[in-house]
Amino acid sequence: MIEIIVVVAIGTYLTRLLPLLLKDKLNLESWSEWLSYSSTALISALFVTSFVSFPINPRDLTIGLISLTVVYASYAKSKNLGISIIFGVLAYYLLSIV
Amino acid sequence: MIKNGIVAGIPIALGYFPVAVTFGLTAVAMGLKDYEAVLASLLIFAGSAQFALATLADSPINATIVPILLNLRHLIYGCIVSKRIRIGKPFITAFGLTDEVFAMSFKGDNERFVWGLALIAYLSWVSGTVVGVLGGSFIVSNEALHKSLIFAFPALFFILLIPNRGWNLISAIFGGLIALTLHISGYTSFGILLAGVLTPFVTSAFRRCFK
Repeated sequence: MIEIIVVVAIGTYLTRLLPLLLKDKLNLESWSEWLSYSSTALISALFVTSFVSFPINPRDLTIGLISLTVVYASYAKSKNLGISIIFGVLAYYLLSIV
Repeated sequence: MIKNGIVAGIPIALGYFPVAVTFGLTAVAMGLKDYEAVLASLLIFAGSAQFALATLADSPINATIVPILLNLRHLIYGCIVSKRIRIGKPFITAFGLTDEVFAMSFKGDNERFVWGLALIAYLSWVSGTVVGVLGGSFIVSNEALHKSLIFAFPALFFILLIPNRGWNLISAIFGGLIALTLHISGYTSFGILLAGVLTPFVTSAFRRCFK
């Protein structure tokens, strides 16, 4: 796992560093559309696969959907990523123990 | 000035801390060792990439490739920042250029301001992870708490999807459908990777058709 963490760290650092070093040579703006679509698709894929598990448990799915509504409402109100996640996790926990 | 950046970065730090606590807790619950979770925050310093890494920990190739693909958007951030601000020490500035630091960098006009933002954000991120890790072992034995914390993953990805409009929203739908189809078939990790690679081509093709 440490090897993976180091490789991801180097990869992440390079995506932040390379444009600063090569800003005059790279024409990354022509790739911006591709990168943007890819990032969105990956986040959506991560969302779907972390939210839905098989076999589907109707109770868990219902609790998840209600908690996502709480996350959405909290984010719409506060625009704070951290607080919205905490509210969502709390809602999920409270619904789970009811 | 660094000080101005630190002050401007307080909202970022406040937002990062609970997410980092949750990352520390859930990373341990997902099977990472304490020091691996802290090391990830110390070295990577990228929320969605670290969550993806922890989610895909059982598949080393995807746990490596997906977080890096996710971070490809930083290539664009670097281009925009370096056009607007004169970057004298790229090796330092690059490390802290997260989504939120990039967004907040528009409030300043020099490199040291970006350092201040990144510094307070980084301290919050790492200390939050340590706090999360210290409470991590308790979580695994409590099923309701465990499931609730795991919910932080879809919650984070869901929030990151909210601002998407137009063709980005279409990409999100395509990406989600590709991943879901393979997820049902049991090829979850491959589905995520395929969604990231295939979706831009599908979306661009649709966009050309509609033009």
